[in-house]
Amino acid sequence: MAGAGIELEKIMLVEDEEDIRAVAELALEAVGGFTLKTCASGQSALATIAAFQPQLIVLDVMMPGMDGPTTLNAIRQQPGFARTPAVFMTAKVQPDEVSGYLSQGAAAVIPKPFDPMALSDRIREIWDSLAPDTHPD
Amino acid sequence: MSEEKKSEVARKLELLKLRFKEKATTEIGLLQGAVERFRAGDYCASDITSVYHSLHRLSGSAGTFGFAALGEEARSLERLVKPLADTDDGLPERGLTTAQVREVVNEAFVSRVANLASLVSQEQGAPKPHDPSSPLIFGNKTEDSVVLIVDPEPDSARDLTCGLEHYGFLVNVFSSIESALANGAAGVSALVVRDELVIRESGILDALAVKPPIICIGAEDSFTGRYALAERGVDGFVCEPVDIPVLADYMERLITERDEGRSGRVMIVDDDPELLEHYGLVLENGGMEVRRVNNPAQILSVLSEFRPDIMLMDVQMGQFSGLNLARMLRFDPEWLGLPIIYLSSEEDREFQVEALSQGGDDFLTKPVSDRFLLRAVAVRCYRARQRDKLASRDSLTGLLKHSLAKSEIHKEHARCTRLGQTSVVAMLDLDHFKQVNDRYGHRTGDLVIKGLANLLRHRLRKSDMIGRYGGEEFVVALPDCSVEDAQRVLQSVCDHMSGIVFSGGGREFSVTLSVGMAPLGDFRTSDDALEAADQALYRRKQSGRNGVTVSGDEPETVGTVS
Repeated sequence: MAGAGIELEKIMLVEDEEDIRAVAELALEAVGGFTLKTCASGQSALATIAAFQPQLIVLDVMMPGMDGPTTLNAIRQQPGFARTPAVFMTAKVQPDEVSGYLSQGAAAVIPKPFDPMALSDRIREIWDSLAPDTHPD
Repeated sequence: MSEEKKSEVARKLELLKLRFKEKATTEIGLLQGAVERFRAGDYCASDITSVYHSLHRLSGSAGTFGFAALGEEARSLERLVKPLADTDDGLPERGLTTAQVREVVNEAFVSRVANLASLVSQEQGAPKPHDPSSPLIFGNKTEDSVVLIVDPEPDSARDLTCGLEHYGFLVNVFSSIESALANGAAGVSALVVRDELVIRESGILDALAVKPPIICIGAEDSFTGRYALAERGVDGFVCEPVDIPVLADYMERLITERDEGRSGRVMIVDDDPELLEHYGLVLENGGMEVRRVNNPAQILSVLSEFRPDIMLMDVQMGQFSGLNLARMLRFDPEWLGLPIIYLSSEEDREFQVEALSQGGDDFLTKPVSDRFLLRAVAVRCYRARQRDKLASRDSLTGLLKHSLAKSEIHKEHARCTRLGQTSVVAMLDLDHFKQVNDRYGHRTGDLVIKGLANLLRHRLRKSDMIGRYGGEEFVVALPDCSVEDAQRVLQSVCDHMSGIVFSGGGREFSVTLSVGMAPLGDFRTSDDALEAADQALYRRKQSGRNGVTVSGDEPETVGTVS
């Protein structure tokens, strides 16, 4: 559950680009102090999410094979993840697209490019803004 | 965040940025080729979609790595191509005419794509502000090489700590195994433990899911003692008094062996996407780097780009036979030595023998259990790496041999000249080494050589190249590194080298190091740069040894050089 004073520790990041994964690892682990599990594809996220039990999921929108929204949909089908907050990262941020992602169950959209040194603050802000009972479900 | 951590992060970001720069340059080159083909009317729908994806990738990542202008231009181009690529089914095969493509991919578009390359280099041309508090270099390895010493005796623990720190290990001391492993063994490179504690606390070690290499130190050396340690899963034993260079070398070997077994590179070729993903995940979870190839026609291009340690391949993939593909790969001498393992449900021995005679190396019969797959692949990767290493590495130190070191420096010269970066090449030579051999014997001499090799591995970045040039002579290349940074790092190598205590013939001694260095890109050829570094080394030898001389610096109060 988010917000209400519960510390965010475990984050799962689903991103097909190796470079972005590496920067995000640095940004969220070394800078942010989170425990991060990165996955290179939607399939690999589905295979590992139950074992890792993240509190928050960050997904790239455009990935080959399973894209971000499809992955999130599939994650929602797994027991225990119907309400886990999810954040999309995308280079496409037209306002109508953002509302589209939000309606697909994302708690927020982080535009790419992002500043590696500020990413963890941004994630923490999003986390803190989530009241425990206002998750999109 | 502490200052130290901040500079560590900054340094890593810098490395990632470099890697991105190189990738982006390649990617833009490919884009350029593709849009020029489009202009000529030579394209198919998937080409256009892949150009769109490529621009999308650049627009998403370039800004993150500090190339804002590149990212924005890529995004603007991405928007232009989108109508051609982004239809509902993603395959806009219907109705795309050459005229439509040419309308979007017009001359202006082509020249804008070509111009992307200059946006990458523009960024590089801008001088980076040099911040002395954030060293670019140092210890990629140190973060990996955390060593826990478990020794209740403070004196011997202190001696071990001092000795190992010279080699760049990060050392923590504990008085019991339980307290050392209170936070688990993740991130621990090696455990140095007093032998009686291993016997007493063996339950804690057994409970570990992943064990770091364990080396015991003990006062008594006996068969029963050693056997008892081996029984408890210990990897090594060093008898007291501990010879630090021997212990450091021991640890270095165990750590590298373990890393190599883990970090294999595997290419899987299978036309069944689910199986491909499954094998990929199993191996990735085992820590391996995996490249999946779904379409056998891509095998050659992926192979030369990814350069795997081994290849796993399905025997029958649609119109392609794995057997023929293996034979085809062997046309190219470069892939003659690549181990190819077939994945097959074929149990017919005759068929398997036939397949092996056609260029494959082994068979794994499907269905294969995850555990078996992982072990079988890991051990083959390890062997393949060992074999390559034997051919290219000096057997004593594990560093690159002379000829390979030279060709690496040649490549680095071309790379840094192309990118306009400063890279440094340095020649290193142990001082009065002949006397060490004469006085203490060759075995002790070898230990000194290995000591310097290990020191260099720890003190330099992973991206730096280290080679053994000859007897006591070494060569290093430091890519994208200013002369000042290089001088600082190499000076610290000299300082640490002179701090290592060796022993031979019942006496203790230390050895100093002289270094000559030169900025690689300032010379017309890499040989010229090496010659300049060698000259600088010569001047250092003349002017008192034990330290670093930079090529072109005025000789320091040297009398007559003769």
